[in-house]
Amino acid sequence: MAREQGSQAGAKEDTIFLGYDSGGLDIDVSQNMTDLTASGNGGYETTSARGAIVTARTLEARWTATAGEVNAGLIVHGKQDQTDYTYILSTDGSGVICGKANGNPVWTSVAVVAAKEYFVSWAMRDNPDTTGASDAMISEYVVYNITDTTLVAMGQELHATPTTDVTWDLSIAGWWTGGGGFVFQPTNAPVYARVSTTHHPNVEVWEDWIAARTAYAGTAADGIVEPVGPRPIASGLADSGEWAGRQAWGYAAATTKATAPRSWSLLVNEALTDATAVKAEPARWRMLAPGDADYTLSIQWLRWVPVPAEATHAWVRAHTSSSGVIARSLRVYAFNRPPGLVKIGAVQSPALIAFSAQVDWTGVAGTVEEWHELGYVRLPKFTEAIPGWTGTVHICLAYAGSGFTVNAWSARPARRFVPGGIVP
Amino acid sequence: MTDTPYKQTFLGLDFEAPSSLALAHPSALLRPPVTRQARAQDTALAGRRIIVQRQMGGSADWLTDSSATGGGSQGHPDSETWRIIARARVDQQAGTILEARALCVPAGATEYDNTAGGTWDPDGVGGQTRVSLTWTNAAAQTANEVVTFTSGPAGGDGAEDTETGSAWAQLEHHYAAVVRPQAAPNSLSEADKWSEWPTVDAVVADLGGVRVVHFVLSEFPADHVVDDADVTSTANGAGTGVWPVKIPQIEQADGATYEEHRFGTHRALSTAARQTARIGPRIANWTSYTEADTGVADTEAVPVNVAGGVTARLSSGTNTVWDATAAGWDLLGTARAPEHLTSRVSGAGSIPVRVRVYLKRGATVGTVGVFRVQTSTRSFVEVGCDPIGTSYAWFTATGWLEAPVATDDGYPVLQDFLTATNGDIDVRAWDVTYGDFPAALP
Repeated sequence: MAREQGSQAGAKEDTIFLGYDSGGLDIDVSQNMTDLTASGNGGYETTSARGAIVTARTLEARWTATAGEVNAGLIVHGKQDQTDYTYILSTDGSGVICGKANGNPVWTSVAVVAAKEYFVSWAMRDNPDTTGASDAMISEYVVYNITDTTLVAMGQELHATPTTDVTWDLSIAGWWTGGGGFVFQPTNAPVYARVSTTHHPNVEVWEDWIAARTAYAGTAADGIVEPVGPRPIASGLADSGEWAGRQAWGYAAATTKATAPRSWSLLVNEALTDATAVKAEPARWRMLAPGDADYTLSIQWLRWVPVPAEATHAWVRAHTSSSGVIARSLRVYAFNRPPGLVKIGAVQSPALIAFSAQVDWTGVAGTVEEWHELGYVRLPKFTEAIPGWTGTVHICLAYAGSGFTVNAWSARPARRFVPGGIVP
Repeated sequence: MTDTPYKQTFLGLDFEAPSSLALAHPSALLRPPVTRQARAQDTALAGRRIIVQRQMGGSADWLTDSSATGGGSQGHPDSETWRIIARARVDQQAGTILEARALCVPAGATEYDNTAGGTWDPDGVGGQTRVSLTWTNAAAQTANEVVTFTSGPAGGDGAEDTETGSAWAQLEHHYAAVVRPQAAPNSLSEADKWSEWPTVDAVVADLGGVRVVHFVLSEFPADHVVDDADVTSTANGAGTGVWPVKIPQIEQADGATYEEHRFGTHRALSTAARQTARIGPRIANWTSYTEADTGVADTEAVPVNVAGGVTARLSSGTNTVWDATAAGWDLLGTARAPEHLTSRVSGAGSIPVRVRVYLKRGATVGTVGVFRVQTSTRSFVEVGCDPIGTSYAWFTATGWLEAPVATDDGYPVLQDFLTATNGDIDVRAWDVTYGDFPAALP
């Protein structure tokens, strides 16, 4: 389970209702701690203003369906006379999981439910490309078969902003109709149901309820090499003035830290439509790597790119197709200028600075497609005062061995620090 | 206060970030930090995002090869017809201008049709590459600019030297700084039109025998001009200079009265929120162009055609469903959790993106397409293309894509798919950029 507030699993800062069948679906374990009125396997709240959400929101539930189960209401916010509703997350009259608003289906899954356990989510957000009322919102949905660990449906739909009324009722595992009782109850109680006031991307939905990705463990690459010099206090923070308080301090620190490398973009990001096997390029394009005749640079992979301020390295990865049991190696070079370039215009070229990183592999008898992590390569930024060159690097791949094709590669800018001696 | 309708802020490439020592407890965040704190985030603008880049597509020879001219059929490009190589549509980051770089080897020969003699005869050695730009802002105003590089000949007949490594010694570096709408630097009112996230259409084209190894059009922080009444801009709209020191202001601009309201709690927080929504990397752009697949008489890159009823990769690979081992594109590896809510997810990351695709249909009326970019088994964005005409057009959609959680995280791979229904579709370009905010152009 991803991060929550406090110790309650699934309760986040945007959660307005969270109930677990294990403790009673009517018991709200979110930070609201406003329980529903128990009914059937779930509960309801009359005149539910907190459920009247027509902006960004996410509805999530997990339950075991019976085969072809119809009208199983998981999360509902609507009128007691059932003539209107803000949303219904349920199976429809045909037994297909769907999301509806104000009498109309917004999205529908692809198949009638089986006697399986399902997870369902419905996240809604504003549509930045809206052309009018009819497409003001985007809804994204996920229907996952937990029993068989298969994805049933995942997609998005454009639709109008739903209408609501704060006097309508919020119901979990049914629909409260007042004198008509608690209808649309699923046969089996949902394991949990959650209502949130923000849009949750699919990644977050999966991380929370379906399957977290394998934990990122970092790489063995270390050897922090680039010192970051002391940074002067340039902002005037801590000068006397009109702002004060820890809130302001916290905001400043958080936003500055989060914003700093935001717009760093990939230095290289290519998937080559016409990838050619190594050694097939003309000899005039090749050059032996400086200081290492085992590797051959090829001009087809030479890239001249600007480097973001404060970037010190690039993390390089490449995709190859290789065939045959042959020792192979792919190396990435970062130069301050191309090797072999004696002059830049009328100016003598500065001394060549070159850094590299590489990956080695052998391959098998058949053709294998695979990604390789070449790792960090230090970036020797060109610093001479030649217009257009300052702050750029030349990046190029070099190969050793044969029988493979480079299909795609990328170089991510990075900043690496020297331990100790850092002035924060 | 005197009406001052425009504020111009000059940005620096190496703006220093504030020292966190100053933020150490229990020091308070005090004046004049609102300006400097907000602009400290301008470090982000030194990201120098690459708007569009093109290379050879992996081909093993040039379109303009070293063969002799003078044959009975056209074997080299002519000297007058531009051929479009790449297209991109991007929302340009606030406060930036563009710069262009081209890395070439000497150009090759061109031909003209000597109809009287029945041959294609030599028409000079040389070529050019250019990028044509059109900016469109939120008010639907447009501006243009063209940057052209001229490449020198390889020799008398345009043939490349055959000596091993000779291309390296003959590299040409071309550079153009300050690529922006022409009128922008001359008046603040004009610069104001283009300082806040205009959408820029970039069209890269070649002429003659040019041989381009790599071309890059990238952003560069320059200056930011904003109407005094506009409080909904990024940090650079916060202005510089003397700030009122006595009273923290929390209200927005007062209609047509140009009083200074661009400071205080409200302003700072709205700036932070807006930057969070907008400032991010340029992720990927693709063109169907390759040197080998393009003919000497082609005026634009040969599109990738997807037949009706088929789902196909566009750039590289043959998989029809996402495959972690198949070729694809990268996203930037930064530790991003869902935006605005950095505390909600750990161990995984996703970012809001805008996806655009440039395509047209074939002869079948009613052809529809779905363009998908997918980065993992659980994360994709689809662009519904319907209706599609017989002229190329951009289609767009926004969504969230799973992204790496660190620089060395190799988990997500961006793969591109197009599904055509009813008829075939030709695709020439697609684009993925950070942010799901409203764009000036779809």
